[in-house]
Amino acid sequence: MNCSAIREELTALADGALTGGADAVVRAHVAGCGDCAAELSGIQATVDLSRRVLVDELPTLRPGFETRLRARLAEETERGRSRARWWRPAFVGALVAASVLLMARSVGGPSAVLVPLGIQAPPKKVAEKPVLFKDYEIIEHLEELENFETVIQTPLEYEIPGEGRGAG
Amino acid sequence: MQPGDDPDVRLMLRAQAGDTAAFQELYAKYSRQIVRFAQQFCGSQARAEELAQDVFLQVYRARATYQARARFSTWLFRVATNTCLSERRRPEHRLPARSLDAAEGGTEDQAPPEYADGDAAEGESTALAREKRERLRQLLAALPPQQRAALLLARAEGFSYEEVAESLEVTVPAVKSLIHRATLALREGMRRYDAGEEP
Repeated sequence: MNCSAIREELTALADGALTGGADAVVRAHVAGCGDCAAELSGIQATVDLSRRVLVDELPTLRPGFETRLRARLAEETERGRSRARWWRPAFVGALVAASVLLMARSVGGPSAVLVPLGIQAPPKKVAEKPVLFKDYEIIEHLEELENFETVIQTPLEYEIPGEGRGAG
Repeated sequence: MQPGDDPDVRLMLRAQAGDTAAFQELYAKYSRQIVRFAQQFCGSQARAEELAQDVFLQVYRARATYQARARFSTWLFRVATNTCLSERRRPEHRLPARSLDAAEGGTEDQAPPEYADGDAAEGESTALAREKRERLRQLLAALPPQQRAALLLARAEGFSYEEVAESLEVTVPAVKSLIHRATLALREGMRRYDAGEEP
């Protein structure tokens, strides 16, 4: 390794973060290279200073820190309970409704799709595939939609000022 | 150390099972460390305490899905790092961190915290040591957030580079590079300070 590559490793060396092989290689180079040894010395001093400054200083928490934290945790617990209280009946209700609909369909009862559309007793073919009626509004306007081509090709009934109708 | 050997992992697993005393033990143990860490990102101790509380709330919420894959502190500081880096991204916090604020005559809220250990600068004259430490904190506050986080985890929390990588969710070579660049920036800053080139 040349000096440039070694210098990239010096902070890790000073931090004691190099593993066996790499540690030995870097130390061997530094032992024989005055420039890298000087570089390591500067880095080591910075590492030691930063560690001393940062490690020593644990702040004293302001009064009430734990009380505030406990209050927030209690609030969180209560919120979790509220969610559970809301969720359980909603879930159970949805489950019951789904079961009823499934049972109704299995015995030929009203369809979950058709009943809201006001179709209580659909023909057999329709009852077999109620999902086709999901887009009921489209079905209601099927006739117009069949003539969609005609509708869009009809010239607009207005004139642009200064231009004759059908100009261009 | 295997995760199962970590007493804090065991506490977290107890908290997961509904033991609130175990959770209290965890936040009693780590609150000051998390506040110290957060303060390097948000400036004021009051805000750092709020962030620390946010961190513990997130841990509390995540307890149901917690999996002991690493030391508890590694996971905790991952939550703390994400919280603090998000905080730094908020526009109102794109300001110099606490040390710079304090140097510029910050409010009471931004005043440096009280520190428990007043004997740390043993061997240096008190005023000079204080000034030097303050300069180092200013330099630290000026580092890019990810370099700062990596340096703090390694030097203040004593994490190995592998643990820093786990907490920051980056590779070990990336951590090595982050810490190296941060150290060079601090060294250059301190050199200029010692040479009287900067106040």
